[in-house]
Amino acid sequence: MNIKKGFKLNPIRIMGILSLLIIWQIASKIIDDSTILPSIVAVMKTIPDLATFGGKELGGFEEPSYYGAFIVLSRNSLITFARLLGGTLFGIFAGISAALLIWWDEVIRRFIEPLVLTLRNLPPLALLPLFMIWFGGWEMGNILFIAFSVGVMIVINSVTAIRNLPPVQIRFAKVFGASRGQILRTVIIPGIIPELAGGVRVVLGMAWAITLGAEFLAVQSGIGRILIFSMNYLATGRMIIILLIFMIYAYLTFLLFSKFVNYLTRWMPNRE
Amino acid sequence: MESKIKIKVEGLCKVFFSEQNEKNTVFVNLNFKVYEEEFVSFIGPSGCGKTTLLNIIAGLEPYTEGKVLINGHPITKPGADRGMVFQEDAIFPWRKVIDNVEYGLEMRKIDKQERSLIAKKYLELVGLEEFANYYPKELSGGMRKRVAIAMVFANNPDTLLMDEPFGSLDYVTKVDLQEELSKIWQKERKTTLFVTHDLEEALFLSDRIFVFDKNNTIAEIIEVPFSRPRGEEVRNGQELLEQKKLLWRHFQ
Repeated sequence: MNIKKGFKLNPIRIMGILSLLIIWQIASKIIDDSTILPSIVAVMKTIPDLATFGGKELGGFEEPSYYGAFIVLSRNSLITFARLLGGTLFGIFAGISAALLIWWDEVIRRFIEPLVLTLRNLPPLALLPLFMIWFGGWEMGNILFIAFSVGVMIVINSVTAIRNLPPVQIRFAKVFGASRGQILRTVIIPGIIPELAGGVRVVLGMAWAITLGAEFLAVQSGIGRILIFSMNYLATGRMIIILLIFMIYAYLTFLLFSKFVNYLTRWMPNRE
Repeated sequence: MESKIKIKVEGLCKVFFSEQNEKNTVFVNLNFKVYEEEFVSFIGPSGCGKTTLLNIIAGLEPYTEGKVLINGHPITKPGADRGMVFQEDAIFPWRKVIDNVEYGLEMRKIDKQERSLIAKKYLELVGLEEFANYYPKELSGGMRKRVAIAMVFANNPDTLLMDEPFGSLDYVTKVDLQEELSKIWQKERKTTLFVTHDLEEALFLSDRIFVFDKNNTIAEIIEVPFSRPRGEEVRNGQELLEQKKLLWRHFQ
């Protein structure tokens, strides 16, 4: 599916989604075990149970209710979004800054580049235990962890993007007497946006995974936490609800991001 | 014609090492002078260092030995006193046409109102005033070249360096732009160094033509006899054809 073109409901797509639901329903009847695969109706019926997540001390409700489920989901979604957004933005900013520094100064390049190349080979989640020890349950620890994972990927992406800029544009700026700072601001930064956008799109998907990963392991709140919590209680219905919600969120973030990128790169020749 | 010397190149040597560490000599001992308000073309076989020479004068490339003087001062780095038009598409695609034309002025921190006035004037000069708010992607190759020319003239350099600016354009567009350039040049009278492979282009535009040979030295300097302004009668005239024949001998 081409995300850029948006999601239009046409008959074939509707049939695709419907057949998936039908297969689900039939499979749940055949399996006949609500722990492995509850039916659609059974899943919907577990929605109110989400209200009790976290218990009283963490803002949960005592009795299951749709209202409570809505409040709990909204609050935890906001928490997850805040982590995702804070970490990703911080990571993107730090990553681009590092790449610009690498462009700016040869000594800095020699210093940072091997560091980045080493860190890139580390699976991000492998670092999570270390961050937990450093920052404990501190919220900043999560955000820093997400930022770090995002940042490493963005540095590499930005460095490549800078390298791929047509050299003639930098020379052109130079013959107008532009200073290094002016070249940075007027040629490098606008010039790398299209390539960077592609990288950020990939990183965004990864950031969702990392945010959820951090919530699985390190904290007591967020929709990732609800997912793990539900698993501990073998509440498969609730898990499926969280997954559906997660799909919607991921799709919406991609959609918003694509809109934003299309605006930023409105000067680009059409590629299609 | 007693004119002031604008650019003086004396004993210029340029050597560079390739990635395989092989020594490449571009110039051994190059000497020439270009006078103020003169239009000089460099022609010669590919790889004879014409572009390198232009880059050196632009301050974009270092040289090994000798003197390269502009107004009597050695050239060390690029500056707004020299403007350059490249063969490649160099205008900034993320800036609208008008913002491109303002670029040099913006870099020199000239205030918004004044630079907008100047930019409009030069956009008009190249016939693109209606396209001020277009992005470069919406223009043809020839129009983008006009934008580049307007950008350079708007910055008001006193020396113009042009590196095969019309090399990638079709003949009709090329002729169009040569005539346009000739007109603007007549008005602004900037010392111009113009690299080209096109003999007709060199004859049509220049006051003098420096013919480079395979050894990267100037084999001959030709004074172009046509008076200005030049139009179709010069381009398609018998005399240009004769001159072209003479020039052609250097390429055989």
